[in-house]
Amino acid sequence: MLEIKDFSKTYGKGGKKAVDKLNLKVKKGEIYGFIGHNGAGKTTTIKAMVGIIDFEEGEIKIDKHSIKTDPILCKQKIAYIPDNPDIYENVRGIDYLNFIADIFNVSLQDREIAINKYASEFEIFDNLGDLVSTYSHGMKQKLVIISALLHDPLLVIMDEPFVGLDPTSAFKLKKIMKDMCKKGVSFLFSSHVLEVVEKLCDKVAIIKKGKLIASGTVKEIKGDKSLEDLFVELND
Amino acid sequence: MNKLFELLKFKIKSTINLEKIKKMKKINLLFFGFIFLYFGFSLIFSITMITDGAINATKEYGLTFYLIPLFFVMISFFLFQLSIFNTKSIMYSARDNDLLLSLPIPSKSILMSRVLITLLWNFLISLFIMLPMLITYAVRVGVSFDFVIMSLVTLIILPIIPTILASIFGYLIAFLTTKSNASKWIEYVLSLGMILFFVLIFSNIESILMYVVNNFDKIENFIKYGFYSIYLVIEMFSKSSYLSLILCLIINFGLFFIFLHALNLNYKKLLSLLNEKKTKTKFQLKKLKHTQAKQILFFKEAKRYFSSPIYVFNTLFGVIIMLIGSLAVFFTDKKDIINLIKEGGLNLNLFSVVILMVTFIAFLSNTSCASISIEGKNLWILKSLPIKLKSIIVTKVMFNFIVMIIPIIISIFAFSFVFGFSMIEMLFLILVAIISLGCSSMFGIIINLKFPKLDAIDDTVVVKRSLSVIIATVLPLILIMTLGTIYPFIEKYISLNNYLIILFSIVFVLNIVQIIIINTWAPKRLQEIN
Repeated sequence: MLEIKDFSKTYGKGGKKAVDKLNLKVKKGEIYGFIGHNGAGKTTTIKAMVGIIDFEEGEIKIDKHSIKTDPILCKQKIAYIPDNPDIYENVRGIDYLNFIADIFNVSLQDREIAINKYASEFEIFDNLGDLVSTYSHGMKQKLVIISALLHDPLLVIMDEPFVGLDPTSAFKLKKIMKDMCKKGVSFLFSSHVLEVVEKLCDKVAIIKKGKLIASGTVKEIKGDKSLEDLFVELND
Repeated sequence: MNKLFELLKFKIKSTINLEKIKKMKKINLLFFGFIFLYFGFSLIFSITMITDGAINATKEYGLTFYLIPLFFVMISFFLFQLSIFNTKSIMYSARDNDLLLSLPIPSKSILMSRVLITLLWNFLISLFIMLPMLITYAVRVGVSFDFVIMSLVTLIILPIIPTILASIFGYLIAFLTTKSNASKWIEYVLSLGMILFFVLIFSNIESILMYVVNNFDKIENFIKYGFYSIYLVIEMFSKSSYLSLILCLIINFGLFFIFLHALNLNYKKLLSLLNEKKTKTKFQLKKLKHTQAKQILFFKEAKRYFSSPIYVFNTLFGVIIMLIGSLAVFFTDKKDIINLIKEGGLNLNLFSVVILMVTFIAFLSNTSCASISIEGKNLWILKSLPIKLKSIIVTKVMFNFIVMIIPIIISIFAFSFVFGFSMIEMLFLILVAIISLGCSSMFGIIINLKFPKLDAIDDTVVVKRSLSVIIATVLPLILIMTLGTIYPFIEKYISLNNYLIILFSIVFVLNIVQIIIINTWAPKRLQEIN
């Protein structure tokens, strides 16, 4: 579903490489954890995957299509949840969801079903008529998550998706992820909560100073240790 | 005062952003330096000419000494109008409210730093306008030691009362817009009221001046009892009264400290009150509407635009004035308008004046030059959606074009009907509007892509102070002014009609060049911006 080959990104001319020759493959129905220190290159890689930033070297393919040459086709297949839910403040929650559904050409019937389902699940339905500017950080995060799920994506890319969510919503998101996985949807997400990564993910990739230092199934990577111990060890 | 100096230093440093200037390439620095100097000198020249004209007009009635107080009042109004929205975002709905209130800084220091920043801005603006006026006055009327002292005091006290009044109004706007569901409408009504007030004042300036001359004593009494501070300025300059000077200082600084003290009593409470948000209790999902992707992008653009009164009034101001003007000509004698043009020193026929006006408005009314910056931290939404980057850019260009062209064409119809232009002349005017508006719309987006400001704390900063907006409005203004200045020198060799045809042909070619840029460079640039 996702294939990253020798991906490198440098900010500014002659600057230091933020990501250096990164290789990664996410198969259909897999949940992939992406971990690393602050500034390791996680967000840069994620932003390149979803076509927000350009890159000079390497290739990123989504469902065999290059994000460089076929950005529209790739973006139609994915959903992106950023690390900060910065969304239009001057519209109502429902207007934002409807806007995203229009862009992805979601039928009226499907969007109504999805909005009803996910908004009720995340307990935000009653607030959809309010301006986004009145939402808390967590509510905005929930709105972004709902908007990402409206068009039945094949791959969901999330940057710290659990930050700001209350425990119930975090639990529900994990359940949704597992259910969607069974239907063949893939997930790649970055997180600093290693326990969640350990329990939820099939595979994990560890990035350090822009370079991938370990990747594979959670079992292969951590062995007998906890993921937390391994992470600290690898970064020392 | 506790931490006030540190706060002020940090605020000024972050506003000026010297580091960014230092990092600019020398050639860019020289270019912008030249543009700002040229624009500055042009403005100073215009102020000097207006002051000179005013001295000539008042000399006849022996009322020259009234000019400085008159300038004082006019600049005060200008500062007041300019500061209302600034005070709202600087003093009340500031983004750093939570941060500053969580720090061990007394709320008095926070308030003081914000008031002083507003005061400093207003002082710099008033200095820029008032200084050339005072120098021209001194050169024409004569200068004395007393005049220099009085002028210095005037410069110091000028921004105080407008800042106080704007802070009070700013609070009212912030309070009403936070508490009410019709917040935008309140802001629109207040802003429109302000525009209409200025339009009424300036369109009736002659009769107002005549009234002042004929009812001199009444006016003097009215000012004396209604606006004592202004009365003292009149006394200062007309009688070189040092007592008035001292009283003026006491009143202005006294009011300033009373205002600070009164506001400080409830400042923290006010800020937390403004933080409260009004929400509905229950939502019911009604039938949703499906819209095509390109249309919804346009509607999104419109929603964003009309949700920001400061954005709307900063860009639609000229067009609204033109529309009001075009309706006003129905009730004005054509001969009076021709006389007005001649009195203004313009040796032009009505058709040329309308062409100039349409071009001027089309180039100065620009939404696209702020449309990328206004996305701010939301830009990721558009960039991550399955839409072509070119479509995002074209939508922003088209939005500016459509919003501006409708009122401009209505104005052209009105002018053509009243002034009796032929069908060909009217079509030419429409063509001029289309070419000019197309050029300014594309120029705006290109400049904004080159100089985006995605980290602005609010819309006011983007719309009023961002580099792309300044360039996109100042550069065409300079060009129009320069081309207008050149023409009298080449008048012998080329007729006005031919001169205009050449200029619009150049604008037409510029449009083609800009279309190529939008198709090639612009999407790549948008992809780079983060």
